[in-house]
Amino acid sequence: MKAFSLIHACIFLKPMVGFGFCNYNFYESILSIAHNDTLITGHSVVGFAMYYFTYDPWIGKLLYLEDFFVMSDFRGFGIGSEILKNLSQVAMKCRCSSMHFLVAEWNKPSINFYKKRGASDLSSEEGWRLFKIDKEYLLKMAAEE
Amino acid sequence: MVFVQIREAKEGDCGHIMRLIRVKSASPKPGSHRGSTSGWRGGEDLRADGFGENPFYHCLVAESLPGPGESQGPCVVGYGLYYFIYSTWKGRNVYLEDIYVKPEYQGQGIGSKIIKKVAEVALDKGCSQFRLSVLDWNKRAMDLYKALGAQDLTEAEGWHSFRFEGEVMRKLAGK
Repeated sequence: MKAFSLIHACIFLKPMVGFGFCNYNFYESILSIAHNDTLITGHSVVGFAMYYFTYDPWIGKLLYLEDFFVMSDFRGFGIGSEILKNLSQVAMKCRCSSMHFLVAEWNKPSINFYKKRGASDLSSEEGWRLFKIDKEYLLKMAAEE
Repeated sequence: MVFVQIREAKEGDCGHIMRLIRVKSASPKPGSHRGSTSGWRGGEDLRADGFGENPFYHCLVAESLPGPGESQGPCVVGYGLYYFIYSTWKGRNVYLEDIYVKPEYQGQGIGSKIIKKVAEVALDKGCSQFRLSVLDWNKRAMDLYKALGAQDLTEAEGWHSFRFEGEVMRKLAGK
């Protein structure tokens, strides 16, 4: 039976004001580490979740799950659920109203994973569409008088 | 003749911004929370969350300035609230969370000016992309953003926004 531990790591892109939990860092990560006796270090990262805090002026802070992955060989052991539980606890500790994330509509396994745990598809249910404006158009806008 | 300037919000603007948020929320987004399950305290938290040591958002305000001879002082007539996000593929991006202009000031290009200012901030901070969400019935907003070069990622790439709302999140946390 593989042993796993979750490590909460704060990774900084560049120094931000203030360290510590619930601060506004570029992103933070939760790593799932498998204990592996065959490796020199004794462990390897087998999954991760990257998140940061966003904001809704009607309800305050939200936790945004940017990326979430468990290596295929390590699925089915409850690692994903454990990471999600950890994330939810972080969100509650930081007084977040909810947790948001994106899923591609063709990614049925992920959609099932999240819906089984009570997630709502805001795009289907409420009509939200995600838009992007690429850098070339930002430059055009900035150049206009 | 009304002159409107776009500037960074100051802590003293929080009361005005909160008033505009409440006016906007009189016509609420469908499905949005009207009450937070996290104990959010409205204006007080808006001030602390945006102007504390570690701000969770940034805000621009549109301020109308009085003409010569007018006794009325400057007045906040709109806002654009944004924050920085991070993509594992694209790095740092900017996300425009909320934008609003008082109805009597709409149709004068103020919304476009706010968006343009956020775009300038994005470029200045090294962002490669500007993101936002729009409701599918809001054709006017979608047309405005598309005219500025925006692409609908939900339509083009199938991305859907998901949420674990308050009570569901509490269950996941095992509370």
